[in-house]
Amino acid sequence: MKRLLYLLPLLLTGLLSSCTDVVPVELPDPEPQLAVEGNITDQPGPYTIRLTKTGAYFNGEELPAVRGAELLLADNEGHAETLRETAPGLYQTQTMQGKIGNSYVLTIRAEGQEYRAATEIKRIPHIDGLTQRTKSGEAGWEDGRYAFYNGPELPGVGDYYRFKIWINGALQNDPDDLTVRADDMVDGRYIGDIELNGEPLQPGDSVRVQLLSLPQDYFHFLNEMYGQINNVGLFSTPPANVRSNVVNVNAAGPKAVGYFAGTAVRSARLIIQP
Amino acid sequence: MPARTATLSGTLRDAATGEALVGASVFVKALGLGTSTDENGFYKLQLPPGTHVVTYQILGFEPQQVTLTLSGDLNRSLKLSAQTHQTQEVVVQGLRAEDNVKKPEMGVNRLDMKTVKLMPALLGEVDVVRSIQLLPGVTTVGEGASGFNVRGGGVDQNLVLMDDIPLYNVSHLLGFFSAFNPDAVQDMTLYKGGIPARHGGRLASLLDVKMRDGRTAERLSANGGIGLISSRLAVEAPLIKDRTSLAVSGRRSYGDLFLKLIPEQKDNQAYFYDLNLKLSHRFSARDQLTLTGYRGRDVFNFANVFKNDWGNTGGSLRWTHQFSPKLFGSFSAVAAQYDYGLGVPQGSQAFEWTSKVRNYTGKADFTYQLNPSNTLSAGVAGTRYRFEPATVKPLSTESIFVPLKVATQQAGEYAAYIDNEQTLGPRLQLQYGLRVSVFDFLGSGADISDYVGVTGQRKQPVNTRPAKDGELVKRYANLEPRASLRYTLDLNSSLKASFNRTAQYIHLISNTTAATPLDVWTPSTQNIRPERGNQVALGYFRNFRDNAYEASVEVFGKTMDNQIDYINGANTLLNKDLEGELLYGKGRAYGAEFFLKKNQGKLSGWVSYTLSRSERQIEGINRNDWYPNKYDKTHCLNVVGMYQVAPRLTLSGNFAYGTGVATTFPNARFVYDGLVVPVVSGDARNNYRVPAYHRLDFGATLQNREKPDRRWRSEWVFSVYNVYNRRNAYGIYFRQNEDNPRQTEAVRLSVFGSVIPSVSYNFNF
Repeated sequence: MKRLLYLLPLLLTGLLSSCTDVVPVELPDPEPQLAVEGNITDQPGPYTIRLTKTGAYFNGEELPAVRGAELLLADNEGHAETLRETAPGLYQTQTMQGKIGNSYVLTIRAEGQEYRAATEIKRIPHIDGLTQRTKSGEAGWEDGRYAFYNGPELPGVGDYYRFKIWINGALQNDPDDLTVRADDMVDGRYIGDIELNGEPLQPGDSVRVQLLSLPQDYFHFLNEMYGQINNVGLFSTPPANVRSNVVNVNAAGPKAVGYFAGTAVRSARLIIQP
Repeated sequence: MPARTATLSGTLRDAATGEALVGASVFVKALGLGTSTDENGFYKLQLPPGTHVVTYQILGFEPQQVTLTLSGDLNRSLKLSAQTHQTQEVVVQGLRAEDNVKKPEMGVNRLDMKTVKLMPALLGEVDVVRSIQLLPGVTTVGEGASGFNVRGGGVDQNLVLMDDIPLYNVSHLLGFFSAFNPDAVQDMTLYKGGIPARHGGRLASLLDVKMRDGRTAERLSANGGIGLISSRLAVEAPLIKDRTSLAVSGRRSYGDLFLKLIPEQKDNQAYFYDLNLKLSHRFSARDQLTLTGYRGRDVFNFANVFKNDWGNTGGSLRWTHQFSPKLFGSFSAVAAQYDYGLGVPQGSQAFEWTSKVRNYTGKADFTYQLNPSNTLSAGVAGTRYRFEPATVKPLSTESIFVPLKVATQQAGEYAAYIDNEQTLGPRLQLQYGLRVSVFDFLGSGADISDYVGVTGQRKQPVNTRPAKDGELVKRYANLEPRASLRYTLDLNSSLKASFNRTAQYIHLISNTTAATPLDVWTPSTQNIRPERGNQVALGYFRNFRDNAYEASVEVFGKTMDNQIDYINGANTLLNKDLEGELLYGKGRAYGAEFFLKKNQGKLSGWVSYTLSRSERQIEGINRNDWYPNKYDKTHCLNVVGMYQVAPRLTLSGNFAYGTGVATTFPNARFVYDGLVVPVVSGDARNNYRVPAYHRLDFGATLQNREKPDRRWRSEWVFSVYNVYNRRNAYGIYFRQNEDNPRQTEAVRLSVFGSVIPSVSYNFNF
């Protein structure tokens, strides 16, 4: 709902001739840092963690993989496992099974540094299912078929969610597709009749949604990330580094970026009917 | 024994309009004694008994000489007539020309609307705030941004008064136009330093906007205009001749009327309006009552999908009374509110969200002429605030939203001051005073908390406890000394110095480049401490060619503490634990301002150049090191010129140049879930500059030929904004290419990326 604020500048575009263009900018080379991306879920593994180095901002190449690192994943029930490097920079579990309510610590030894990342898997509501409805003459919407989310929200404030949507198998993954929500405004309410697509769908199209429960700190990570990758305009916020839960054991050592997160996952799917 | 001196006092008015003439000079040339009229057109002058030739004059009016014989105190009010058309020249300043050199005040700029109306205007909208941005020491984060920044201060550090009514937001249309209808404004004074002890509550400046008080003379009259963005109409009427007058004005934009012509846009609305009212009544030469009212609003409705509106509403009632020729009093009651609402009217996401800040203020001010060399001012003021940061209500049974309220907050702000303007011999004049301010943060029946945690990260509420309605939670008090002095070097030049301490108890919570209409004000609380500022300034003032030119050089240095900033990713709206996301630190600003103004003649205008720096040091940002504020501009040059080509034609031009605003560039990236995330090495803040800003505007005002038998006067105003079509960068942003997500790019956003011509038609009768 706060995103509605981004509607405000729309009112200006009709009246005034604001414009954007791409400009060349020279930036100094960065000192490469360790970048971590990975999840453990309540679904069956293996779970994958990717280690890379950060790269120059304007360099479009693949980020260099961090190879030969030692990754140890442990939970609060005494399970522990060393991850296997299955491809350059990709590390996988073999036996570990994520569980709602458990907490996890990932230890990374790479390039002479030791990092730790702690997370947990939070509770999650079920999805009742997706429904379809045809809109016609609704302001702000093109006429056509739309898919809707329906499901409860758990009573008690403090739940955080991410929604991932696939249309015809393609993850909707533009910067402004990153959708994370806190439950303080919708606590315990039935979340029904929420559109999942912005453009009308055709019969036969498939829509898949994943609901992820997020630990609070991971919600803040994704929320800050959303802010930083959608930060253009009159009401932009100061560019700043997104938080990370990957902490160098040596406080004076180089810092890592990225996140290792635990999430519970529920999904639902719908084929659009004629 | 005959009295050694007698007091000559009275009020000067415009003979045509009956409006008080502010800053007119009254002097006895033979004795070298003089004074100027105050904001009510009132003057008083101590003279020895006897017969004197008194001259009354103000630029733009025919001067009058009156021969008077004083045996005791005498009241003499006068009306001056405007100079006739042929001899009328552009008047940049209605004030006594030599005030620049003779008055102890510094850091003060005055503009009258006559000047502002001649300056080139964006889209034909004459704009008070935009014209202020052309003065030395004033900057902005970018065109289209709300408000203005004075000597390194934030937009919320300016006290903006419209006839005593504080405005919490000075903009329409998110910042593109200002909240002031030009037809309703008489003149404005910007105090960048040397804020009189009478005013307080903001750190950086006071913008005092005086509204037109209507015509106590002659007849009903009207003026108005038709422009591209809005139309205006102002009516001024003498209800009872020489006693009661009424001025009413309104302005409305009509972009949305064009929207109705487009079928798919017909349900959308986007407009702003404002209404001004001023009713004055003179009971006698010594008593006057003035009622002022204002309402301004922006409305934005996107069919039944989204609605948003915001604006200021306020009123003031002021009674001025002359107790004796030496004692003058003014008593005001003021109410002001800023509020907004937004919401979705129907459907599964239907909700209504409202926010409000309101204050009630009472004040009494006295001026007492102790003797010819001491004029004392003193007064008291009390304000009660109520803040309702956010209330959300679901609007339908199927709405997914639950009711949510960020607790109401209450506060009281009290002040007392005393100030003396003292002349010590022919060369030295002092003004010194003390303001004592007290702020009470009061309970409102809701819980309050303290916050603990690591600085730079979100802090958690602890020690949560109830605070009863009206209960004193936390009290702050500050002594705010103010002093300035003027030392005359010779007839045309002087040195001045000033010291100012100011305290600010309410703060605008805004973490965006430009303030948004949804930003909320918050009081100082048990967690948020009052902001305090100290400023010293030195200046050299000189007039040339019989006061035709005014010049000044001022240097200033300023420190600010308890400045507010935000953790990364702070949620400034709808946040019950906002105080856990605030950071605090210090600010400093220093600079030199050069100003040359030509007041008279066919060519008038000014050149201003400011060299300055504005920085802050916030624990938790930029590795706790100093960094430049967003609105820091090393160089700022403004040239404003008006040239009367012919009696009916005036041309004008503005040139503005400023160092690019400070911004943060990332230099690294990582990829998370297929999205490219920028990284700023070393957690730097504002480590780069956008390219320099410069812009040229032209304007022309052509008065239509007057018909001797008709009162109708009209003019065409032409403006060209951004003449040489520069794409000034509002900011440079970093993002993934929309078509090729792996490709990253830097994007320049220009608010106005083209030449913007406009024409408007103004009339009066």
